[in-house]
Amino acid sequence: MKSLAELEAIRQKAKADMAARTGGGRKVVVGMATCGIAAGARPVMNALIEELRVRNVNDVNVTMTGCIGVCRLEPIIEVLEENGDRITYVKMDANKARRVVAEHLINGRICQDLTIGAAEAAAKETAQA
Amino acid sequence: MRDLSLHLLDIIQNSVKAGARRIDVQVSADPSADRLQLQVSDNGCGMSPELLARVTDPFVTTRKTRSVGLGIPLLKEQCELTGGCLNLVSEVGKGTTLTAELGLSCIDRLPLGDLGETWQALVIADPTIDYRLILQAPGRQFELDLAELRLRLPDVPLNEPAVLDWIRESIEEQQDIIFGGVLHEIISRTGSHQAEGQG
Repeated sequence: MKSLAELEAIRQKAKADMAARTGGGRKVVVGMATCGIAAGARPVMNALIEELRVRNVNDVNVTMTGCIGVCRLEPIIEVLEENGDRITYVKMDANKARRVVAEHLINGRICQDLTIGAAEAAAKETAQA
Repeated sequence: MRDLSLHLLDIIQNSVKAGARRIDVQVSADPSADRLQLQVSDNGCGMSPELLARVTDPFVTTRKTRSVGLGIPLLKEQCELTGGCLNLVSEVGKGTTLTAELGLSCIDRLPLGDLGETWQALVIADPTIDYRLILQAPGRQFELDLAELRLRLPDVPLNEPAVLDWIRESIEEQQDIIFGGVLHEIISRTGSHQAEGQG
């Protein structure tokens, strides 16, 4: 069972982890308003955190925001690059979140098929068919 | 919403948006009264009596970006579906208390879900807010006060991975211990199959 006595060891480990960190300004924002939560944003956020930890990525901050404004495409995450670029991924799930960590945040390749542009183009095609 | 821990995540975010720095959450199960109570109290900006009277209307919100606010109406509907009710008390400048009463053994009651994951998400979003969580069932109580935790970890932010793990796992463990017995009692009494997802 977890106990308060464990906290001193956790404190020492966390301090060591913080000292080893390179820092950095990249940010991943998860939409967590009612629409996002109902669509599954919480498992997406937890998968991001877990994958970043497993892959030892320590220059990315994960945070949450309210409604991003396109409720029908939730869960939505936005990657904010240090140069100001913003990439919006839509209809996310935990597996897609892990893919964004591996392909985009680690290897620098945007997952084009998961972006809002790809989703909107596909919706347009379907509407025209 | 799939479970009550997601409703709580949504409702607590209203408190965060209201500028609350202290948010107390209590989840209490009372089998003798057949009630499950969720209570969220904050020290945020509070609501005027006019807004308070209209806040369960899904077409009322304080946001400027869109014209619907579904969090409270959805929770109210879930309460009423189980024979319970939702109550709000608020005072401008002092804060708001939301109390949701649900029928504990009602077949339509959503499972409690994973409170540990909800807390992890909240702490990631803002590790400086003083969240206090109380889980309560007859003869059992668990309390986790992040303000106290911060005193024990003065030089480590609470959104550090090792700390997040401890918070999430502590809550998940205690949720099982505190509500597990209540759940068995309900199942044996009613034959209900609501064990799924109670975590």
